Amino acid sequence: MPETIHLPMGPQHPFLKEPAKFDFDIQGEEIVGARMQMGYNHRGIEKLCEDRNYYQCLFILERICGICSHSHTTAFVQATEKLLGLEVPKRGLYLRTLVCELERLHSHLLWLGVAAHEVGFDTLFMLVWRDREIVMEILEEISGNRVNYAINTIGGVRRDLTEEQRKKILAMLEPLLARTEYYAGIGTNEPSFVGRIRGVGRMSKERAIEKCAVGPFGRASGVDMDIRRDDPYGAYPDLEFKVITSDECDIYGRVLVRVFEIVESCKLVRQILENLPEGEIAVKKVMRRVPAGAAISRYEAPRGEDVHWVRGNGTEKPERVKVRAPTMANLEAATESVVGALVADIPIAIASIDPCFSCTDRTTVALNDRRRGRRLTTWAELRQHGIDWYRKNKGISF
Amino acid sequence: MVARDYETDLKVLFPGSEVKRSEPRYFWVGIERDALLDAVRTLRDKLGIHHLTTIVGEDMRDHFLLSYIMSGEIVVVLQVKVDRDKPEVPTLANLIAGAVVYERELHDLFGIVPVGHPDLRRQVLPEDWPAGVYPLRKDAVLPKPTVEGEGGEPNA
Repeated sequence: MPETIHLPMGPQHPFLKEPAKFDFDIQGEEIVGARMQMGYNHRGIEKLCEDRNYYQCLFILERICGICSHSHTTAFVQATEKLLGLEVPKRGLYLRTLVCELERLHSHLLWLGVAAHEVGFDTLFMLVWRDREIVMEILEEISGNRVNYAINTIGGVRRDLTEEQRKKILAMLEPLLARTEYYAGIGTNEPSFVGRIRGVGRMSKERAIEKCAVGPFGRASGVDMDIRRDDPYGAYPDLEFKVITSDECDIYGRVLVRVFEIVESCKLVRQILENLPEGEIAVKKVMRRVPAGAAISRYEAPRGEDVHWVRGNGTEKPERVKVRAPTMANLEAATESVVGALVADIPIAIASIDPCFSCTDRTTVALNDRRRGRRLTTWAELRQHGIDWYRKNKGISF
Repeated sequence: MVARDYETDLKVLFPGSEVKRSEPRYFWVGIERDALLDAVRTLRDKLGIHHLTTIVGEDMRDHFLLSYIMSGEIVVVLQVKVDRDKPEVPTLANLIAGAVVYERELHDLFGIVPVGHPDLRRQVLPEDWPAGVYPLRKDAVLPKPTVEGEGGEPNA
């Protein structure tokens, strides 16, 4: 029986871009225990929302995450619309859903690239990220932004799509669809890639259900759950799509689910653009005071079920906004799935849930606070400050 | 559409409680704190609603309101009032393993103790957050930031 060694990793570490601390117990190369510690990113978004009006909240919530920003605003506006009793025009719902699917596309492509990179398959990483740019350009075409699209507003969307834009995006989709099908083939058949991920990071269906796993992570363990189908919102009741599940229960299954979701999303985007209804994109008059009551809104974000709870109190500000990001639901299960794997598999095993810690910890934004005389530091000032500090304290001259 | 008549089922299963329906899929059931574990078990075993979406904590000024959002084919929100003076609830950890993170979060942000929780570490707050300050309570006095504005100054 080899000795058990405690291996701490993080909060800053080589395989994730966001801070989280992992404690692994290892025997030789095998992981026999794992724990995870979060909280390095907490900036109190839920508290901030308590003394801002609904429109200000929208901007803050958009910045919870840089990848699934649209998920959070959609979940929030849906809950607020429920409280206000608003009926969003069909075209508004379709445009909102269009951005939802494009966001899923770019998020899954990003993830596929990262997964390939984590196992040392950098060719796939570069190819996938090159084509992710097409999605980013489409998003920029629609919303004007590559990230934080700010397209949602309470009662609809903020920007309409012209006929030329619609045609242009449809044309851009053609190469994307062909290439994503090619990547789906590589991701599921390439022996050097599949060899690294098959049978690694196992999570049984029973355990995934007990741990309340969501999204592609749950679906890869056979948990057939997709909010788009189970609790439809936006334009999804009108659309046709397949929910991808897999019984592989390992990282290979998670790749399988995501690559076929990419293909499915491409088709959904085309379907939405081809069936885009005419009409208004948003409700014209929206009350600023939201009646008292609580509303829940569930949303299938790229990483799984995203839930917002909004309680109004009859004023312009919400009484309570609660955000439950999908990574939060998958954390415990992901940590458990690492047990039994080898130390070298830790990066890909953790990356296989597509973790997003800023969502989970709910980060905030740097505000330019003029009242207290504080302001944002420019890059040049920061550089000068660093040079001066080292000169004064360390005697180093640059 | 939801085929089964869940409203009748819920009224039969929770005879002493008020069952409200806000949307076709959303049901709200108010229950007593001591009945929580039985209610969750009933939903899981009798109706097949086994996914705990999340637990929402709210400070209603004179009490805390916990909403356990359980989802399956429908969504059932179990609402439990918790005393401000005795902020304790039974833990769901033995019924639904996924509940531990949400209960930890509640403990962090509201100071509500899930009695019997196996591992009450911090979940969302940083390590250096002062003990006994629960930021989402409406009467919370938040600590001042220790480093003001400029940053980068030596510690000593």
